[in-house]
Amino acid sequence: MLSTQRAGDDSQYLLVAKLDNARSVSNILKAIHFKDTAIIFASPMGIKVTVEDAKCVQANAFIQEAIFHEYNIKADQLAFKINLTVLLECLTIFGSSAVPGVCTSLKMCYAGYGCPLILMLEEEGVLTDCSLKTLEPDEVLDFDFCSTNVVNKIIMKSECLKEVFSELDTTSDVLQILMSPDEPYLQFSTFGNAGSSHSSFPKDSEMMESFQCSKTQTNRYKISLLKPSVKALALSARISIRTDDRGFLSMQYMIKLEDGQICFVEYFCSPDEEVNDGED
Amino acid sequence: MCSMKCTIPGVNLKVFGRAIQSLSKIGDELYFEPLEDGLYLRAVNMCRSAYGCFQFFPNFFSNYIDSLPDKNRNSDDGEALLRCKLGMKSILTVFKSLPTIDKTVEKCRIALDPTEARLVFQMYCRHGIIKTHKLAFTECETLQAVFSKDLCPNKLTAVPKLLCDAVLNFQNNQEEITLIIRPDFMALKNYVDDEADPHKVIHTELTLSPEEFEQYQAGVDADVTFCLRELRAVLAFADITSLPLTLQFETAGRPITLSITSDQSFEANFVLATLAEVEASEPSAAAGAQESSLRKSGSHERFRNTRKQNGKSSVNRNSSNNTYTEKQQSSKPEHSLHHSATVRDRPGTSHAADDMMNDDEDFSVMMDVTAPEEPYTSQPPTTVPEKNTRGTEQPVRKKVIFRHDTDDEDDEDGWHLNARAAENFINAAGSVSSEDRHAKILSSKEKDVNRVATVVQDHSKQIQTSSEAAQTSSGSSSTGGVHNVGRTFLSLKSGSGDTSPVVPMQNTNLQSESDESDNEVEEEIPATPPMKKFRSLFFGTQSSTQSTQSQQKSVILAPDSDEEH
Repeated sequence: MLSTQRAGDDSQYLLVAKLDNARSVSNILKAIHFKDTAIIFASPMGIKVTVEDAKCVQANAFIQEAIFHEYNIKADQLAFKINLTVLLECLTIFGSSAVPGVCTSLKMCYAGYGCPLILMLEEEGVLTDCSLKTLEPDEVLDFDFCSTNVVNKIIMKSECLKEVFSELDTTSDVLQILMSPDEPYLQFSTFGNAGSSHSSFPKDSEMMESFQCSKTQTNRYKISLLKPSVKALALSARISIRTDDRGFLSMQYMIKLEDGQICFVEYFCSPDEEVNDGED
Repeated sequence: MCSMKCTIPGVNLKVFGRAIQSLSKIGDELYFEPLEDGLYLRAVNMCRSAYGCFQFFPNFFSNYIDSLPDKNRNSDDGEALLRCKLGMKSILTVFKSLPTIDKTVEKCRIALDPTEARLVFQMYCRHGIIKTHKLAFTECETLQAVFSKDLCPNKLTAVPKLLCDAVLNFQNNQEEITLIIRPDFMALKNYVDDEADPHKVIHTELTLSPEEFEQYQAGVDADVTFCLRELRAVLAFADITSLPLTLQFETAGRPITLSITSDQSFEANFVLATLAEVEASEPSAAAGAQESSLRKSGSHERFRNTRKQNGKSSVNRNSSNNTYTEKQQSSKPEHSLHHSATVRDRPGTSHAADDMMNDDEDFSVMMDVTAPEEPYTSQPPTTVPEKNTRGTEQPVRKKVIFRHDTDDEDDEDGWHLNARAAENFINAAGSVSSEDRHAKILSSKEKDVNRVATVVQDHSKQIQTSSEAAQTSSGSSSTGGVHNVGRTFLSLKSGSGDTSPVVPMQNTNLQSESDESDNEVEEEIPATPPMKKFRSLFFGTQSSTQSTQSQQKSVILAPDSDEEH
């Protein structure tokens, strides 16, 4: 119904995206919601939402155009900054809990630089119009994480890592990640007030889907920066952990949406310089 | 250092984890000691009124090595060298989520890492995941409680479910519970503490018949009161094992022991202090009774904490005790005192306990805290009297009581009262130097065990004494109804040299409903902070009647020479 009512109006928009279930988008965006503002990039391939903190950590949520049941974009790249908190509140305006059988449909429209982001949400005949101011997009960090630089890569099921991350010793400043072709293969360590805790995963565990480690690397990352990634981990089914030659960490989470479609969330984090053992 | 290693199979981890969780509700530190006959885990609470000990026999483990062979042993007693304590918080992080552990952990290995000086807990989980926790520990001496449970005349054995269901009926914020045993029934009652109006408080009582118990032995009729929170901690553990729990106790004031001994692989013992209540009656009679009861209930529990670094003796748990020298913990004395006040009311002090305390300089913490009769010889009380002065009705535990014994009948003449009060308190009539006053008052205690005088003396006692004496008598008369206080607290502030305790009038709230007491006694000094009311018990200075007469009405807080005579 939205499309019939507004078919003519859409010509003014550079971006029109429609989705049957707004919850898909809102859940993914919650997984990267650790800051108030986010940069939205739209391209013919889909929408990417980026959140950054302290110039050290970056989270990206990718919503491919295949997820939308209608996706029209009239530009190669659109970018704007928006208040992510407000966006999430609008997306969940009909309530955030999942009532079976009831879907909130969403239509997003953006008319270009300086124009607000228009959201139209409808649930069971009730229509909500939201207009969110857009801001000048900031420069986003480019972690320059290309496959050629990747030293170690592990793909595993998220299940066991969920426990590790949820039980992280919060008195520890850092999370140390060791990846190695030798024992202990993959180890997460914290150093807190009570002592140190280590969780190690063997490479032949059934949790491991792929284990490609060429070099032993031990890197430390600030726990405060990685804490937000736990939300994404909780939603995900699989995770890919990669480190490059500088010790930068990339964690990619594969999230299955309610309708079976797949989205990706990615976290980049730079290592703690002082204790950067780097490559051994 | 010795190297200990043991492995707990997954099936036993639940018991182990739950044991640690129940000990965590008792104390803040877990004492860890692997011995030949098993691994001991112990905890004690801050004021030494609760103690828990688990002994896991070697057959609890799939592999148990308490130390390396003899050549590495260099301890003089030949036992395992590792005696340490861990912070509860750190060990709880290892056993944080028991349901998860139950599902995922296959075994747990505990080992001492001598090089890093860490106690290593390794959880071998499914899918090959290994979680290693390296915890820092502190070396310490053995924490041991000496208690004799087998000599207790009262013994109840029940399945934990019975007691768990019983305590469910009590409110969550209920602090203490009274267990009443008689030959034909057993009852649990909530303990109402110093409530001014008993009708304003919920009273809960649950009666169980002997048939509900697996074993029911009621040797002596007893009403023992102890801390409910600690009982819940014990029951939380007992519940998962479903093994019968045995309670052994004697009478009020003696500790109650809760034990699980029917399992082949471990044994659990908890000792809780109980409130010692003394029924107030005739002062002298009460005193006598109290004295005897005190002696009887001398601390039979002793924590032997041979901390070499603390040369001092153990802590006297009695809150009334000034000699609360808590070495082990730097916990706030007031709190402990307060706690002990609540937990154990002591009807007076036991000389025996006191002697023990004083004699065993190295250790001996009385588990069963009964206020020593003369606890204050060593130092000024650390507790604030008002803590103890609550409610006037009996049993008076925490209150500061002043002696009112023989004065009642002489109320009409405040001066006489003063004199008498003074006499009661002080052995030597006449002036007592301030520094002696403390001692004097203590010695006067012998006369009246029940009474605890909390005296707060401010400077210039001398002047006050006479006036105060007047007050005291009136005050004491007003508190005629009050009987002994379980604990004696003295906040003797500096007494002037008088021997007779002076009870200021403001002490009226200390309970007294002696009608006969002079009205003037009831007066309160306007704008007197409550603390002072309690504090100024009296300080006996001299039993001068003339001073008291003029003083009947006013409470003297500051010396005023005019009022003296």
